[in-house]
Amino acid sequence: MKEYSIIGKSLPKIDAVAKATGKAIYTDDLKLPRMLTGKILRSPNPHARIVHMDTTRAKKLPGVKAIITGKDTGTRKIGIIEAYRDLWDQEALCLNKVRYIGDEVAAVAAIDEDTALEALELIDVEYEKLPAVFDPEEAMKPGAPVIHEGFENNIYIRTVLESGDVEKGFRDSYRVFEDRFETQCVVHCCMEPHTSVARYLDGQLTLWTSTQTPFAIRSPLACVLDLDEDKVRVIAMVVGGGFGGKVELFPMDVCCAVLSIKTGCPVKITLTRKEEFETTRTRHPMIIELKTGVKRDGTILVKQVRNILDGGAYGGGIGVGGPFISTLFSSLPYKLPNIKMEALRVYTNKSVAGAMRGYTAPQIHFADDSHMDMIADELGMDPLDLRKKNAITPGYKTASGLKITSCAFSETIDKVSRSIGWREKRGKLKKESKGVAVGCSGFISGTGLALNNTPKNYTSMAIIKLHTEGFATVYTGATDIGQGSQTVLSMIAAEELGISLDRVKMVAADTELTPFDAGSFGSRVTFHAGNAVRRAAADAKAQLFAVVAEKLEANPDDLESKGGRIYSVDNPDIGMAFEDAIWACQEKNGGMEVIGRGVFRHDIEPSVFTTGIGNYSPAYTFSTGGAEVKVDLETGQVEVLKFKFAHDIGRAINPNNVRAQLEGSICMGLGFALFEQILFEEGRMLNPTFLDYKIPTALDMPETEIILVESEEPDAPFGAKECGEGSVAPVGPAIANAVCDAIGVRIKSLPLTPEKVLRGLKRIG
Amino acid sequence: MAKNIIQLKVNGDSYQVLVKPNMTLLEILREELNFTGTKKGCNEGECGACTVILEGKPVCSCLVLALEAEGKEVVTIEGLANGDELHPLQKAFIDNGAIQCGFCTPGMILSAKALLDNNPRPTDIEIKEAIAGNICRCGGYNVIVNAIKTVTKQ
Repeated sequence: MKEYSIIGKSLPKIDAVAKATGKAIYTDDLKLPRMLTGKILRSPNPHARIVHMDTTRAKKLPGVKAIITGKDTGTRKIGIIEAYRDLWDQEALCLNKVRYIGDEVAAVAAIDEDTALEALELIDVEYEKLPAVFDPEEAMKPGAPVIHEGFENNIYIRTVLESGDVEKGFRDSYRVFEDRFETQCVVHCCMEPHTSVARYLDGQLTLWTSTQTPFAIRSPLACVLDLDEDKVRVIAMVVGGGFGGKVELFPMDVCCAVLSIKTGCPVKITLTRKEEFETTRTRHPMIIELKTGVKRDGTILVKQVRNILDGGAYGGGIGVGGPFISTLFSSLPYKLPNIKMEALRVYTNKSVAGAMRGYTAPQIHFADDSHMDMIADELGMDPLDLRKKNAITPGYKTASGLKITSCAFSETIDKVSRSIGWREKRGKLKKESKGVAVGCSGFISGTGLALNNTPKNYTSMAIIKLHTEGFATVYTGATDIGQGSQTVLSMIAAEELGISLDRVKMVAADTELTPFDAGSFGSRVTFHAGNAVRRAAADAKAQLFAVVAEKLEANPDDLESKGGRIYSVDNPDIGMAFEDAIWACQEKNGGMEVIGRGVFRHDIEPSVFTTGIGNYSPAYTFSTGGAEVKVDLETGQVEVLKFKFAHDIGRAINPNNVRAQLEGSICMGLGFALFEQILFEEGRMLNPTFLDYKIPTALDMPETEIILVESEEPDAPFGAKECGEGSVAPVGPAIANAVCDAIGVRIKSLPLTPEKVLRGLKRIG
Repeated sequence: MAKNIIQLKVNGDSYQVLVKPNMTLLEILREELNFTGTKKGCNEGECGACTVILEGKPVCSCLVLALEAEGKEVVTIEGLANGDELHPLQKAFIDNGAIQCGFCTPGMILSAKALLDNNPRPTDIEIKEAIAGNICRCGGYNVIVNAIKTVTKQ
């Protein structure tokens, strides 16, 4: 592979010093003169009609500056994907009905937090309780309580797709395997709670917020406020983790804005940890039914899938995409010539589900890759052989229309199985109740969906301004949520321009100052925004080369920019300093600044939206995780001793950063597999605290090894594909399969609790 | 609620602050003194983001009443670097790629500092135990432990 000056080097992140010294400014760190504190009153009922609301007593409390209800936020619904505006289904403040415990009914702005909280207690709301439903399969039955009018059987959205000859596939199969898997409710738990600060001044609203998608939330925010979009500016501050939970416009953002408009003061709303758990988003709990037909040699002939997503009370945000994306992941990472898939997202009276690191991939691949081990066992095959026989290869087109370009899937299986010691250990550690296994996944790099409607569906734009002092400013709408996008994009710009990283500055994620970017979700930033930035840099460089070539009497095609100098490739002594080139370029063009522009768009095939079949993403990645576990036969406790992870990265722009993202994926996948679980009773979360909801700590992390498998992706910036999102997905099945290898117990629902392990041991005697 | 004036020493400087009896040290640091490097992650002592060093010991500042800190010495993340010269732990976190979203970082570094101040050569398990009360949802624990280890070797 080609060597570069900056790409491929583990340089420190450009925001690391600010973060290490406590100087990085997150939204809750903001203070503005006369700023008020906002608080939200929430429904204590899972499903109820609002009969009467009285704010008189609260309004009289000294220090209270405004109280708003549904009458102030209006009847316009909020959502996120512009093309699906018909499906936006959430009122910023409930007008007539509440649909889950935590639903927003009123908001207060006061001079301090104590006063705001006191005011909430003085708001009188009379509810008429309605029958509620908490289980998606119950919710779909005739006669179940109706959560949203017009949605029959509480089915919010349904995706159906079929390709090939499914009946023939089953007829020709040597064996057919059917299984049902279930996954639990888990929550993002970003360390930084959702926070917004709104300021309405001179008819302009500015929202500083902890969002992953400033452009996408501007549109519904302007809509619900009945303001033109040019009157709304959204600025993403330093974001303390997103994981998909900060993709949407939340009622708190709208309340913050309306309170600021009403009071004429800036207003800050920061959610409490309990509100984080109950009222932001969860990972969709899923039921996954699989039916797979195989030939005698293990070749998969046909797969039938039914995915049921428990959506909670609303879906108009990123929830719209859940069923479709679940079918997409169901069609990776194995070759499936004939498929029939159905996915349903169902309303229930619970907290709202959305996208969470891998958006349905961790659920789907837990089911799929557990199923693969079960099939291998029944066929008497080595599970690795079964996987490799069916593994997607470069250039493959799936029955669901995905066009695979680069693909190092089989290599990831080989490297992990070697590293975990497959040959020596698989099936051979039962005496110590230890086991080893793998889990695999396929993912997108990255989503072709822009959320906003854009001309020709472009998803990223970038602008680069060159300064005569020899540095560059990159303007990008992409949001750094901790994944390191600002560092990655700066490195791409520096490499393309041929200057050092400290000569690149970054202005990001501000709808007023930066060009459009769809945001940080769907594993798209490195690929989409990276391409846009690279193209903007190439555009600026070409402008310099044209002038330098003239000065040096050379051909622009023979020039190179490297180490802060532009020179002739054939005769490196002939050249000029980068800053001199900028000066010369401006001089030549009447003083006009050197501005480079770049754009990236991906043609999602329109059939994706009608038949569910078509190419969705410009590239795809593949991962394999390998687990070695030990099961305590007395307590049922599963301990993960080692976890090995190989990822088809394309090329790592910053290997240290990639490793950190993959370590993080293992960590979050481990929590999902072993112990994270929100428990509900009649729609009420029983454990919305870090004390009762267990997430991994330093003591839970096993020994890990990260293996980067590079396979240059032609359309990617410097060959780089995504990492860190779909990479959560192989962790669950690897651990579940390893438990089965250790003690012969197959658990088909997450998390793998000691109770389930002990029940399984009892069952097999 | 009646307020009291208390004296605090933060990062070597003395401050007088007017506090309500129910105010926590975290609130005073963030809201009154603008040491916003101390983060509020849960406000119930379970995430460690608000860790500061109080009289040489790491504490969750959301669990300490401001009145309890009267006359005591507090070190926040802002007090670690000496001018432009970063503390070795800060440098180690930066150089080893141990910082992702950064929200847990101040608390994590201060927990590590408190450990190394008392035990300059900790074992891996001692490091893990020392930071077990600091949640990193980005999940970079092993990278963080490695970063801390590079400092113990020096």
